[in-house]
Amino acid sequence: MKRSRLALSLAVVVMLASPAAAQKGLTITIAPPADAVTMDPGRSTQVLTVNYFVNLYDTLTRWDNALKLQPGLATAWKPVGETAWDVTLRSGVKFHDGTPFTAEDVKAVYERNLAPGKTVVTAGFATIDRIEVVSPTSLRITTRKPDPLMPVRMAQMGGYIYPRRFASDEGAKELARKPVGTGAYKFVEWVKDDRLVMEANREWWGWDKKAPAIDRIVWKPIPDDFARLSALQRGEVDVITNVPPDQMKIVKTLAVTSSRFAVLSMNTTQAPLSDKRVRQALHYALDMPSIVKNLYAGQGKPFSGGAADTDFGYNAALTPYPYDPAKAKALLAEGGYAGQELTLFAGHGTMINDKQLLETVADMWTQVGVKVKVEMMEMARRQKMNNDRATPPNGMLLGNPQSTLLDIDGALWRIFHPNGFNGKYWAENQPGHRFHDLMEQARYTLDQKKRKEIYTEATRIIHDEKPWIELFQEVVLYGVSKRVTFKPRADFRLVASEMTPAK
Amino acid sequence: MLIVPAVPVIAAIIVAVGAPWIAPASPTTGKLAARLQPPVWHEAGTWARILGTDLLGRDVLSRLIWGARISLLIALLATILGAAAGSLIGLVTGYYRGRVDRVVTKLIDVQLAFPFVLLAIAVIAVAGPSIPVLVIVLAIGSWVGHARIVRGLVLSLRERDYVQAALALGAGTPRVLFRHLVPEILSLIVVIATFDVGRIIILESTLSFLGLGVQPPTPSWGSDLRDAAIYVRQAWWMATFPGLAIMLVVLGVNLLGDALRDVLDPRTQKI
Repeated sequence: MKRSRLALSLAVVVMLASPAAAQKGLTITIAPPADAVTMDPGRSTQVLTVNYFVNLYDTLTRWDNALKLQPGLATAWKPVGETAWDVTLRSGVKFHDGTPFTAEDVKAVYERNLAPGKTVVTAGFATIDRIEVVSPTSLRITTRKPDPLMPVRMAQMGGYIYPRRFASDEGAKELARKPVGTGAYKFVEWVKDDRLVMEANREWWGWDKKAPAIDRIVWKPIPDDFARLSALQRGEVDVITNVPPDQMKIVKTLAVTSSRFAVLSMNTTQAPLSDKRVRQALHYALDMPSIVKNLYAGQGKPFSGGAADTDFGYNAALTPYPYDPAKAKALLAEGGYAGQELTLFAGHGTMINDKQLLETVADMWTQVGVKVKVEMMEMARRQKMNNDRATPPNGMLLGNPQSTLLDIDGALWRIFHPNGFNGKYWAENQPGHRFHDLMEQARYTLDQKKRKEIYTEATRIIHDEKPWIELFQEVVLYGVSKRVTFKPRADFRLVASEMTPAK
Repeated sequence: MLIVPAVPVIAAIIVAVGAPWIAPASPTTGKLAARLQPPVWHEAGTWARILGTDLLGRDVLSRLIWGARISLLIALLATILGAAAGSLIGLVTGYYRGRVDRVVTKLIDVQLAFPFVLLAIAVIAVAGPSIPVLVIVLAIGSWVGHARIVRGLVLSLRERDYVQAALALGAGTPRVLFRHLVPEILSLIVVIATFDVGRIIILESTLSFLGLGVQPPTPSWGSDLRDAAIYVRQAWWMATFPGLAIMLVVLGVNLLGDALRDVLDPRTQKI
């Protein structure tokens, strides 16, 4: 009896061990600062969580490493008339659980996204009127008004496709714990706040007949910057995010200028910030190149006009205001600055060196005679200030928006739209009206050339009006071990199928 | 006996009071290009920045000096507030006993069982961080100790003959409390408060380290330590000097408390 049990357990061990022995690819460990909040792509747009989605799920269209729009689960899309798009889907694709992928799944996911209150991604899909399944591999999307961004919307957050049985309330609950997609990696296990394991989906259409270079990904959240850094140095993890720029020399890093930019949103309803000249003066008083060079180890790019250079609508003709304290003082006097105190707010952990950044900005403004105070808050309080649109008059809040559509419609117009965070503060009597009309017009213009022209004028208004303080485009900075390498993406996504073993 | 422990404390007070005249540079203005400069005895150090510069190029020595002002001010105010409130509550509850006493004692037990940092985070998250809020939060953290000790003392003192005699002679409650009981316990309050100053300096540093305390760019030892934490390998001087300052002052205050107890409390004096 005993012997047979031993034999049995030996057999089990051999059975368990043999597939592992057959694996030749790499297992890598990625350490983000926080765990994913859910595995349901409808329920989170938070950058860290979306990094999990992008590996598990596919979208109809997708941005490649250079942020060019490429076919994903859709192989072709074309506009039909002003308000409809015909989309052809990839055939022969299977979900991780074996069920075939069809147009019905896309319809179910998009309709769930559109249903009010079911997901947090509704805004990005709100232009869609209805979706019709034409055949298992083709569908027609009809929009309420002409929507030039439809192909881009299919790549955005929330566009991740899962089997239609998960689109119900009950199904979504299951999906949140056990994700099923068509993506390059499939879910293995999730121990909350400890690890989430994925393994390569060898049937993925995107491998292009090559074997996956990374066989297994272990996500291991480490909240503390210092602990994360030393985990990498000890060789416990292979990829870490949010490396403080000053630590770049200590570990091997990969960097790229991101689509995210740092700004100080401000309440411009009262003097002195209601005066354009004062807002311009504040820009002339900032030595942005020095801040980027010293505080961010040169990793960052000053910008102007409200658009990152990765986005459609970026206006290269607009150069950031130069550092000119004398001009700043003159403009402050002209604008009638009379010693009012400005308050700079930021949540702890908004971005790398956030507190130091505000201290430096405050110091530079003090140099030209502006009274400034800094107030750091807990993230929950910051979130409340942001959600309630509650920045006090002459207060400024540090933020780092990013266009979810890689088009300025998804950042500038999201924020300065009357419903957006800054829409409330940009007072009525300012050229905001013209800006408002332009952005609204661009939103429904299918002709890309025309749109570009409209955006050129709109960004010029932002460049001149300065309704927020434009700091710089952030850099994405990863620390990597000797085992793995990849080309970092400007959109902050960590895509394991783009990673390769380091030589 | 009081001189040795008093040295770091008096030095800190002098530095705190004289900060505008003593500090060689502005604590809040720095040249970014001259950041992370080592102290003077290093090859790269200069006499203009004796203890080096921090990550924004500000003078570490000047921040230390101005930080003393903020840290000591907050600690002293919070101690006085906590000691006054705690002693008064202890005095009243110990004297009257009864229902008030039971309620207050329960309150004290509840607060002692509640983690202080959590309480502080909750209060500061709602009220927003500022120096007055910080003083009040720290006072909330310290009144319990005073209240408990004073209450215990008063419980036994009120049965003493001289108190009973005063009552028999028709003395009113305020007179008994403040003429007969307070003088008896005052020296003890001073001793506890002295120990508390040290504890509160540490607590203030803890809160500032967590980002809940003094707001930038105002220098405080705790918030400077927070900035320094991640730079320990590149710029040890940023963490070392504020850390040493906290240690020396707290050690001094504690030794001073010991010495004061010996002087003020006749029972511990050797015959």
